[in-house]
Amino acid sequence: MSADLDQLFGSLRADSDRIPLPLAAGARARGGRRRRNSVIASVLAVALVAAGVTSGLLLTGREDVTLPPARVNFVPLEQVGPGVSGEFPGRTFVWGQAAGGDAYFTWRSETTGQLMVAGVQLPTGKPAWPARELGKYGDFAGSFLAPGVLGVMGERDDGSPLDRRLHVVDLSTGQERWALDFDINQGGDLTPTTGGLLVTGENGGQLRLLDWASGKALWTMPSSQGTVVATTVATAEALDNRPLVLQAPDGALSLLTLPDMQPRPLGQRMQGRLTVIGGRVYASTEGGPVTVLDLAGGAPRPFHTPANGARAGMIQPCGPGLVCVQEESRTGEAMMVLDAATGARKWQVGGDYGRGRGGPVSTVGDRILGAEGMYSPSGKLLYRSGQAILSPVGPAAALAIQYPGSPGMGGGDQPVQVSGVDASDGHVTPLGTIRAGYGCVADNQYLACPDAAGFKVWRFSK
Amino acid sequence: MPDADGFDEFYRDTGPRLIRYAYGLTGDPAEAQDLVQEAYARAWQRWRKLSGYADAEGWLRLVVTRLSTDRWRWLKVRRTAAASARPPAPAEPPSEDTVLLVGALRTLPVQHRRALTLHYLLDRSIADIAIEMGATAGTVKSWLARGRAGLAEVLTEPAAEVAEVLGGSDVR
Repeated sequence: MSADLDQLFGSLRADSDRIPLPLAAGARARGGRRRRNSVIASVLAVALVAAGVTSGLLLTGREDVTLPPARVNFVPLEQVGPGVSGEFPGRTFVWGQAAGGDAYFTWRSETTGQLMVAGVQLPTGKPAWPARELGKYGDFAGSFLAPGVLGVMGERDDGSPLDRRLHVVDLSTGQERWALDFDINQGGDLTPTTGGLLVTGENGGQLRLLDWASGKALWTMPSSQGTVVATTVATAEALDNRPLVLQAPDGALSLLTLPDMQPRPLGQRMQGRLTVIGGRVYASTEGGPVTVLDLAGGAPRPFHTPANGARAGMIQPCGPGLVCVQEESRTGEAMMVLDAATGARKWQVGGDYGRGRGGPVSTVGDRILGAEGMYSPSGKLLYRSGQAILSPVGPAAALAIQYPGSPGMGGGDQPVQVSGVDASDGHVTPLGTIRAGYGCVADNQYLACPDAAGFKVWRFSK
Repeated sequence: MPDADGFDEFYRDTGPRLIRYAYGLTGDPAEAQDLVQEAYARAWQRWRKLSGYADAEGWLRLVVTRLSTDRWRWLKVRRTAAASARPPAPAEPPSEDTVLLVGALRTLPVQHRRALTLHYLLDRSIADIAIEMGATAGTVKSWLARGRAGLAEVLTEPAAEVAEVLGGSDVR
């Protein structure tokens, strides 16, 4: 076998050496764009987790779910309170999240490397707490909301083995509760759950659940137990305290239920990346088909095979009874909207695999907010968003926010157009233009954005 | 900026090895190209500092390793980057042996895959791998042994099962 392996690796080496090396100039150009990409990534990753929280409807398989009667009464944008002012040197790539009547902004200073966080009260436009520094980093790796806390990840660029640090910030005070250094090279991950932060991949496969308040381990499952050596924890529904699906290196699946945390082997194996949506486990492998397993019973079965040359990427819930599978080809992306149970193709976004098509989705009721606009469950384009970014507000509407510059750039003083979009019919209500920068965030009534002086809040509904 | 202060030369010298490393980790030529370009993009941002490193190539491998296992990145970064970047030139189709091997490599834990890639594709010694992966030489030997065993197990399976591992690829 050794000689065979030598031959096989020799073949792999030869094939590797025939892979065209991209242009150095391309890498340099991409370096200039990379930070903003990172910011977008983290924002959307958080959106994905949030989308998963509401995906319980998918289990019902109902196709007749309609929008709730609640409507947003849009009004022209009206500034609320004085906003937050301060000295924020080098502040770029701001992003925000809203929860519990506050908005939270995180950014890294390009000039000092400081990773910062600030909170603003939405109903008053006043600071929730002063801006705080979390440390100095080479990059900003993302953030997420969890019960009572904001998790903010800084990334070191000095080659240290524990390359990231998670800061767990108390939402009510802005003070850091605790921090965790971790190494994503160990095959592990951080999964925010309502019961605590699930940390996988330490010490060869150990699992720990850390208390949001103290950071102390509520329980630890040593890797020596063997049956559960999690390399992947499907996260889409983790915040909803549903069972987690653990995947051992050999693909064996177990169900882990919070809070008793007793793993129950499912007797099934799946290879590839797992996503759990509505009681089903979807597995995608690079270049291969997507398979699905019903957690209620049965064996893994074929679900979706990408078209010739395309690869299945992210799998997301995208409305009642539907699952969206992102496909990527050499020329672009498409988002396939599939029946969540059977994999039957309903419709798709980006039929020509164009660049920028088939981006991530979020949902408002049974409406799908995709890269090009707002769609009905049957694929009718209710609203074409153009260059605007759609942000769900409440159960039946969205904001369309259009920035003139590149995402992540801008000093917070550019004209940003804001419109309200009724999810029932796609009706658009222009709300006004404000001077702001990239990184706005909204709840059901207020819009908060970075601006030249700091952060400001506007009311958009009554 | 002619040759970008040595960056382009560094890129040309180290790029092919990094592609090889990324291909071993991911088993996908397009993914390898993307990871490598992303790693060099990060290197370019820090080039003034990185160019002074004794082992800047090792730093790049760390970045590639990190990116290949980073769920947060997997979720979105490549999508947004791809949306605004021209795709690199397509790679030639791999040989049948390579298809079989990368399919088998994908079934291994990342540490085993990484150790095998460093050993077989970059000719790194056990001691070098141990330093790079922050492990003892004994642990590296164990990873290599278990990795080889894992490959042998998959590669000796009937063709149909290998095809399944490969995600339905046509194995002739």
